[in-house]
Amino acid sequence: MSTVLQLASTGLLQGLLYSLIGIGLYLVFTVMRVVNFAHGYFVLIGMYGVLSLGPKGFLPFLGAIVVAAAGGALVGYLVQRFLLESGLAKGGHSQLVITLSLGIAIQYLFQVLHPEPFETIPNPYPFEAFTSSGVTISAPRMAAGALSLVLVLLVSFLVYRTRIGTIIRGCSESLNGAIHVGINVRRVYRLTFALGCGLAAIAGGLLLPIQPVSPALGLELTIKAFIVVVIGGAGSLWGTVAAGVLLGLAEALGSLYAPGTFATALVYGLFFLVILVRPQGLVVRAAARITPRKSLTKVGVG
Amino acid sequence: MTTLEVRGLTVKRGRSEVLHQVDLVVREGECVCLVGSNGAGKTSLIEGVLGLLPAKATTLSFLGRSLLGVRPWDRVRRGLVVVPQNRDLFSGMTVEENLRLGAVAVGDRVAADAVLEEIYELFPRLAERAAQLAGTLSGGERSMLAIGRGLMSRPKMLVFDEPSLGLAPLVVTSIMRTIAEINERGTTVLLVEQNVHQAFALASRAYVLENGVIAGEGPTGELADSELMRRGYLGSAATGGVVKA
Repeated sequence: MSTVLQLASTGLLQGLLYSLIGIGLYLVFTVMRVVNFAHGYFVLIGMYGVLSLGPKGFLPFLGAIVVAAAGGALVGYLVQRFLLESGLAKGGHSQLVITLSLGIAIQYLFQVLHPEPFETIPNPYPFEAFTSSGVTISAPRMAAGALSLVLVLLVSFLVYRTRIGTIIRGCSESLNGAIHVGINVRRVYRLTFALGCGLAAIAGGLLLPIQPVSPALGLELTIKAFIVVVIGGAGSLWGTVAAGVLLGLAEALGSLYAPGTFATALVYGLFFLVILVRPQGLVVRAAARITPRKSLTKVGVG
Repeated sequence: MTTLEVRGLTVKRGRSEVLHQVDLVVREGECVCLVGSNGAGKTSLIEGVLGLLPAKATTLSFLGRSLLGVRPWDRVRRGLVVVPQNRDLFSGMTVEENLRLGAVAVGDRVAADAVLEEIYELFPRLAERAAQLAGTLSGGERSMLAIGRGLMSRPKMLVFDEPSLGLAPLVVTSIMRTIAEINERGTTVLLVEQNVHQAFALASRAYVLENGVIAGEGPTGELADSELMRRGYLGSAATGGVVKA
């Protein structure tokens, strides 16, 4: 019993981190209809960012995360400004090719900068593991889960309760409608992409003391973020959050029934099943489903 | 004073030129209509003026300032608001959220509440449906919402793109009456319509668009009696003449 409890708590906390990674991808996808295949690599930017700043202690660690997040957001802004905007003008599947290549480029960049795999930092938090009723949770894992939850709540507040959030949702509902009410959609796109990448980088910083970083991790994280968004459904941010937690739980509890790598395969198989049974995802709005988006260029502003 | 001045406007849709050297002027406080059959280029004209389609013009100015090179959303912020043909509502958001988004980028936030009240007075139906998702509204209600959203920023000029499209005759009459009221309250109106009778009843001047060129213009009273209108738009009279002869 305590094993199940142990795995469930670990899975839940890991899942919250997946939720945080997922909402960045969700925002970019629902607002811009762009699937950012480099999303997991922005998590890498956060991980390597914090690693290379080498923070000693809790406050420097938080500072390093802020710096890494700002860096990730800036890279995201520049990618949208200089690669995706002009790429969208060319139509076709350019955004897919651009984000995929960008991810690979980031991976090789880090392979050159950090040839040593599995680098990590020691526990930066001012407390050690928690133990309660036979369940032990390490400090970084506890803190990463809690901070992810706080950030997810902050983002949902931003999206659903603020003026800028209303503008973001407006752009996601109807690009033309947004233009007709005078919203600078180009700026909203840039900021949304920056926000999504910044969130991914924060998640990377939180992940670093838990999971040693290697350049190859980017692809795995991209796929996980992708799964979370698809399973969550396009209807609401909360679907993505729930799917993140589910993925974490499934991974952790899967290891009960299957050894190591096979457990991972089992998890992906499970999600494959979910997609077959419920292809629209967990949360879908009744009134509006995600419709294919005309690119900015097709409405003449690209 | 001239509100909208268009001279030598040429608009391209993809590779083909769909509007050729169009001149059109709307003065302050006027209600002008632009009529033409399907595919004449009415929507292209609007999209060219708003900057949604690539357009060239010798003059394209709004309230005396050139719009050339100005982004579509900035044209809206200057007070040139379009109520689009397919409404372009925020379907997954409530009626009230849609209306508030109408002023989010343009109007000042304090005034928004007052304007919202005015719009609910103009369209009591929207007040009843304030908390309903826009995607669940009927065609007439969607049209009202699109107009209400356009009014939220207190525009200097409203351009209506086929407001009667797909609506029942009774609803069309009520929408047209509302447009007249909006104009009477001081907003300059350009009404783009296929429904010539309704449009001429409302507007003081009209432009007739045929195959991407202006085929005629003038006060609606005179234009209604002209050979051009009889031939192409006002039904039996044109062919009727030939048949009788």
